[in-house]
Amino acid sequence: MTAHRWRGTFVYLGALAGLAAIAVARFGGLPFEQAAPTVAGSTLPAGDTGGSTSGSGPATPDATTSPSNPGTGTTDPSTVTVGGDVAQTPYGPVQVAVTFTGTRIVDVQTVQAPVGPESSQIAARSTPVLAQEVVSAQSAHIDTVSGATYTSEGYRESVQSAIDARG
Amino acid sequence: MSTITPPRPSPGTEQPGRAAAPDRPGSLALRALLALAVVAVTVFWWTGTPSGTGTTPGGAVTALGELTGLVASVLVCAQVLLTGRVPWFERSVGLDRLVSWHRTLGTSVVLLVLTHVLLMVLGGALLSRNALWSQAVTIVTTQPEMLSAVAGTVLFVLVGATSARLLRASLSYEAWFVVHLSVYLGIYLTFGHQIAAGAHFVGDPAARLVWILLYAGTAAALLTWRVVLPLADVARHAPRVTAVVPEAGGMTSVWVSGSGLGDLGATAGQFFLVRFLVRGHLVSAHPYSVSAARTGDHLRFTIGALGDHSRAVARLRPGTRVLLEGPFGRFTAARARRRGVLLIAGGAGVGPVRALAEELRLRGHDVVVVHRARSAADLGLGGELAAEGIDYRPVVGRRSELGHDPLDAGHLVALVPDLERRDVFVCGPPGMVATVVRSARAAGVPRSAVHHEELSLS
Repeated sequence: MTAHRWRGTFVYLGALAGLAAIAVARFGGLPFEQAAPTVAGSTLPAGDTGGSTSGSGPATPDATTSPSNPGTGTTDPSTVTVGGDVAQTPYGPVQVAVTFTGTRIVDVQTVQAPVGPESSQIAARSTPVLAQEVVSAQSAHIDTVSGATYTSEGYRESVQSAIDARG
Repeated sequence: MSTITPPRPSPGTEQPGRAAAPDRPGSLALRALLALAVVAVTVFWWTGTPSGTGTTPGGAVTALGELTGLVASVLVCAQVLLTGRVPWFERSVGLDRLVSWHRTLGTSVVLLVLTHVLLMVLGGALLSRNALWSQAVTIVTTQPEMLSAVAGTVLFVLVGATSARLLRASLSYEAWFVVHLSVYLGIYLTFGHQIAAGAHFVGDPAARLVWILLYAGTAAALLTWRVVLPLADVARHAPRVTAVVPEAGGMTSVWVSGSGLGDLGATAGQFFLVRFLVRGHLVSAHPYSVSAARTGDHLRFTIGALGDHSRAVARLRPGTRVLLEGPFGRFTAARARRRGVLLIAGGAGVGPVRALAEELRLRGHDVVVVHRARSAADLGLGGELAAEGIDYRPVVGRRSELGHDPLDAGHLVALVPDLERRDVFVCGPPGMVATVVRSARAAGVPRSAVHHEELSLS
């Protein structure tokens, strides 16, 4: 009927405005951070497929690859960084180091992440988000980052092992 | 209008003891259900999206893209259920309105799907600092089930485009219908990536299960009501064409008979989706109204010479098998609340009006039929209506020849002076229906007493 011309388009525009409003409500209070400072070291996928973990980055010297061997503390005596297990994914190994202040998780750094033309990009965009999630959740129970399914799974595994090692 | 008379209470015009069927009781409920589904999926997105996602523009855009995709996905299920011949929807809302909603929502869903694609590529590009096109390639090559999702999206767009006014007008019903069917393949193709790559489902087996059940339930409903039950009816009743009768005005009456066909409970004013199982008619089902009331195991459809298909109906042979879906529609005598009823027919609309007039007369209503046609030769079924002891008033002549529209408010009131106290049923071309609805409303007929139904399914 002619009365309903463009009704679908209007419904779409209304829906779009509604969805955008919901997103603003969800994220509106949060200022954008260009490079989240607490996870500054996490974008360094230093490992390679060969497994050599000569990772470089602000925190990596403190990270160990053994969960049974808690890492040495950093400057603050109550702050420790614990290296997580290496989690294997179809795209390569994922490993993190979790920094605790007391029992609080304050930082997660990526020791190694899958390397490759696409994998590096995926790691680059997913690991900051994953680190942020761990810090907010204070656990390894975090959501998968869209498009980084395997990285997310490996990340969870490595974080959990670090938390377990910390005890 | 100068002809409007003040409403007078007229005792005796209401039918005592018989409540009229409420007009679309489920209309509000169904819309509420739809809104609830969208709210539910939004809450699911909200709780499953960490705040940290919004700290980068790319993360925020990606999250919005995910929300858009989730909402579109729920609406896709709603879309196919709206026209899925679900009996409760049919009875409480009516197929005509369901189709109208389907048309509106269809536009929105296709646009939402495209928006989802755009936002996911844009969000990913912002996060990875890739160019848009290379990000699109990255997504397709690295994420699971993404190639089939792209193919499915192409089908969605194709179905949407062929249903848009511009293209639809240049397509035959059959061509449009075949393209439209491919949407099921599109839905199947796009389902995989939601489960395998959707951030909200990958790590959440419970959510994944709910989503799979949503789609499986939708598929089960479609299979039940669009395939299994219609086929079971065909097996039971084995309907066949028993007679083909040419009518005035190029119309054709087709009688379809089958054992126990009367059990389907078709009443005057309702329609079936009819598919004649013979070459040239197989591809698509057409909505045809029954044009005779209370005919037991026989149904009569009177079909106007509107399209290729309708014309080909005249060449049908007795014995042809018929696939019937139905009956559908709420354009029935049960809607009449007053004793006085005015029926207005135009074109092929005379079929349901003929059946309704008979049914209403048998129920004790005072029936006036106005039959609109270009010329006296086009008054198909007019003879039957005149012979029924019904007040039959043919109105012939093109508007250009008459110099006015005989159905506009002034002329209609002149033709039927007690119009205001009657229920008005109108069936015919959309333009005519719109004119009559306006005229009746202007003459003081309440909205609830004006009944019309659109039959087009495309």
